[in-house]
Amino acid sequence: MNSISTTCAAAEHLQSLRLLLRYHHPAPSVVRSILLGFWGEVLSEASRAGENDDTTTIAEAVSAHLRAVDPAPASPSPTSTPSERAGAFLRGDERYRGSEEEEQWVLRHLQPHLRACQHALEGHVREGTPKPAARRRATRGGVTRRIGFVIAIFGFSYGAYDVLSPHIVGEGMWRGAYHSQPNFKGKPDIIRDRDIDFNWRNKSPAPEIPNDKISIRWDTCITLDEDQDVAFQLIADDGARLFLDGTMVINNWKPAKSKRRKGVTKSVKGKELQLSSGRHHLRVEYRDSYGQASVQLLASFGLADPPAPIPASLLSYPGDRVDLEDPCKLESP
Amino acid sequence: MIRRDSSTPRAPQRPQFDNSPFGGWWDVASVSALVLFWAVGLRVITDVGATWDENFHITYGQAIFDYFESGGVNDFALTYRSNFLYGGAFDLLGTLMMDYGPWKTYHAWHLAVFFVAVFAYAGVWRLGRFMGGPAAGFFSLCTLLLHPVFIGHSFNNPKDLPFAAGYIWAVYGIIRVASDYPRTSKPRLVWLGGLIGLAMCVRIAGLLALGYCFAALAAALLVRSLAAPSARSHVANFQGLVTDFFTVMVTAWVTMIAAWPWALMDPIRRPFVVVQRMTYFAHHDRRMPFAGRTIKISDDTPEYLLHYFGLKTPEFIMTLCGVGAVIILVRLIRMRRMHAQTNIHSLSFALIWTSCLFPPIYAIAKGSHLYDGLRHFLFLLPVMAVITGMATSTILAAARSLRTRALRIITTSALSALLVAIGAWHTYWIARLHPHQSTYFNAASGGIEAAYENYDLDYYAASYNDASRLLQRRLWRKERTYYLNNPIIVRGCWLASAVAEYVPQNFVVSRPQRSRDPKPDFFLGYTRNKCHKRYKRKPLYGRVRRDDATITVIRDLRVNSKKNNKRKTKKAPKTKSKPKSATLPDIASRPPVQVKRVENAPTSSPTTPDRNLSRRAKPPVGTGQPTPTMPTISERDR
Repeated sequence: MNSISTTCAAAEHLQSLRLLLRYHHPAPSVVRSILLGFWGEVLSEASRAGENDDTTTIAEAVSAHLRAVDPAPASPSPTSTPSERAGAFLRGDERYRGSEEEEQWVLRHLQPHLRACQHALEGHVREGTPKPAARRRATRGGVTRRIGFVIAIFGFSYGAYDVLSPHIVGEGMWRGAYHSQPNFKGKPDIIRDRDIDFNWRNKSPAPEIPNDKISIRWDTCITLDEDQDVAFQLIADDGARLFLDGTMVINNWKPAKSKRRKGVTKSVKGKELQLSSGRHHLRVEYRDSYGQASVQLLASFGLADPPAPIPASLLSYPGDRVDLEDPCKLESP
Repeated sequence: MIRRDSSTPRAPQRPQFDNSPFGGWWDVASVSALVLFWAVGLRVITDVGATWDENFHITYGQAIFDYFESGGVNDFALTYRSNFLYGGAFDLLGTLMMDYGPWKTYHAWHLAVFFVAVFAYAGVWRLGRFMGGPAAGFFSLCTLLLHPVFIGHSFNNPKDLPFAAGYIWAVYGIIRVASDYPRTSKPRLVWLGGLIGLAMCVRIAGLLALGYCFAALAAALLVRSLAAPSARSHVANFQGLVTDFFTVMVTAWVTMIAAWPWALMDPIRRPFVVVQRMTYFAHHDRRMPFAGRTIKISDDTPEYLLHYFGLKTPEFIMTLCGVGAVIILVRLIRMRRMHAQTNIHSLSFALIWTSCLFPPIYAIAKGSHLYDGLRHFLFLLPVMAVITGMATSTILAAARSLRTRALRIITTSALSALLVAIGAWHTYWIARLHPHQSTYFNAASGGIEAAYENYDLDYYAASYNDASRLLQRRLWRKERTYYLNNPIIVRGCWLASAVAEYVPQNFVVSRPQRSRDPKPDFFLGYTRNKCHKRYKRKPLYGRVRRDDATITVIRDLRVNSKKNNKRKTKKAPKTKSKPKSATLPDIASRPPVQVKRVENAPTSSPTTPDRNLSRRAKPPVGTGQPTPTMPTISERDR
């Protein structure tokens, strides 16, 4: 691998990271792996040039760099500075592994580190570029090559971003697994939804999902401060069911035709429950056969008011792992 | 530094235009009032219901968008209802907000109307300030903010309100340019053309502003020529006037037709065709209540506008408009003895009066078809607000220039207290009628209660929002089990589809004109076309009312069938231990937690759905664990 391609790969990593941090909420492990990849490229180039022979591991290099970014000693304590915590996070220090909110907080403080990486990369590229006198003699072909180089960087960056990003779009607390087939077959598209309140009519719910014959499974974790009477209501066209901590509480999957009103395609079903305080797993499964498609989950906490969309403040994201049967259990205190 | 003795009265100042960048505390107060209105408006915007007219504008806006997006291939916008006779700039704005914003359909449109309403309020402030100084600007703004009818239309009128905003800004632009004409730059003329175009691109009646523009520029030129004859000949002056007016007209025309597909096909002729058709707009000919009797729209009722303006305008605005009329008459009489700039100011005031009086006089003289209260003439309210604001500031200035100090203080204090009281009284009425402020009738006419069944109240069906929410709350309180497990099918008169925007998806709107739609459970009737009188034999389930006047009734259509009678008996049980509690006490007193989270225990996972799931789902799936029972209220009560 020559110098240019190494630099190119490092830039590619960096760009991926910037895009990820800007537009998504990536998992910390993803960020860590990309960042370490970046440093791996830079260090391999540096060791090839004989500038940093005594650097043995990437982790040491990262630590050295972090000390340069923040001269304060990296003493592991809960009251450490943002930079120290970011450093600990980068080193994969397990003592700093906290809740999801804390990790998100650490991610936000990675920005200074990212800027330092950018400067390091720019400095590296600047050293390799020709001097101004030589730059003036650059031919048209040289300019074309440079433009091609820039395009290639962006192309590779986008490709890397496309491959590395976890393909979870949206910011809501519901994790929706959109299957393009009935009965939850096939690999789903994962979308974070703010709420289960959709009326797609005859349109498709997501870009790569067909209009009909689809199935969707939403998961979220709901946290209650105290024991409460709750009424859930599930309205769907064509069918849906609600699970609470793994138990089906509303079955509106295939409403009997005899119970359907003439001319009404939606089926409505609700139930009143008593919920204990603490964290619960809510799962909604939905199916659409043909024609109109809509689904809505409502809840009334305390039963004073009619059911309304569940406040986002009660919900928390269950994580990106779709294969877990109860994603709320892992992070419960 | 010369300090004015507070005991000496201020000399009455010559009226002049005020173009100062900052007008002290008055400007601070005006901007604060605007910001406050903005904040309160955003807070209450979800209370406002959608009107049936918005439905058509949404479709038209989408059609215009499709027309431009398809390069003219999708030509639905060229033939859609009578909407193709209107410019589509605002409809396009609403569609863009709906398509590219995060809001629901009607919410996006209401926001668009509200933004334009704030623009209209700002226009009133600017015009009042330019004509009478910062104090007049403040009073003009407050007058419009205290007009319940204009407030009521500031959220959900996609036609009359944008036109009112364009109209007031056009008048402001004309007066601004006329104030220093002919020393006007080309960019300033283009700016004026754009403002006039804003009015024309909503309604063709904005062409009136072009007429005002020519008259104002010609008058300004004449006054200055007479005061200081220049070396330029009259012919040269006239040529300059024609050139400048042409610049304004072309800009306004381009602005008008830019988002109007139908006019784009023949941009010169078609707007005039619309003028001709709108003068005798006879698309509707229905019956409506008017002054205690029922008349047809096509009936000759020249007193229609006088009635509505007399009954729906707050009394203080009418009084101060009368004062404003006296002021302008005095000024016009004294014109010959005044300075040229003062005369132009007086003529500008006269132009404001003309822009207020000419349209209704023309409509009455032409026998135009009028209906739906005064909404077609909503654009006059901002102009009236400016006249009121100027009159108020003139009266206050006169009080401050009284010779005796004590009299000055007493008069000014009394007037200030009176203005504060008026403001508080109308604020109270606006809050009391919310969100149906457009149904306002002034106290002198007996209020909304006296107008009930004598005049149009909620002609726009905006109260369906309140009615559907009321129905939802009552059903939840009285028939909870029924509410939780059944679709609620409602029907309204004509277009009630907007109801679906405000209630959950368990509410299904049944359209009367579609035979395949389901049979309704409830009927919502507003007061237009005596819709609230239908299904009189069915029991009344609720009503939306303001000040003892019914705006919408809810009728229960279920009760006649035996099946539904059974349903009625399935009420949620009333509590005995804790009467009238917000929550259900019988549930609260029961043994606690039914569904419990068991930590560190194997999770009772939802089954992976497959074809057999629906069969296995009875009893509830527990994957080997004992199934927790989670009965509904009715089950447990049994």
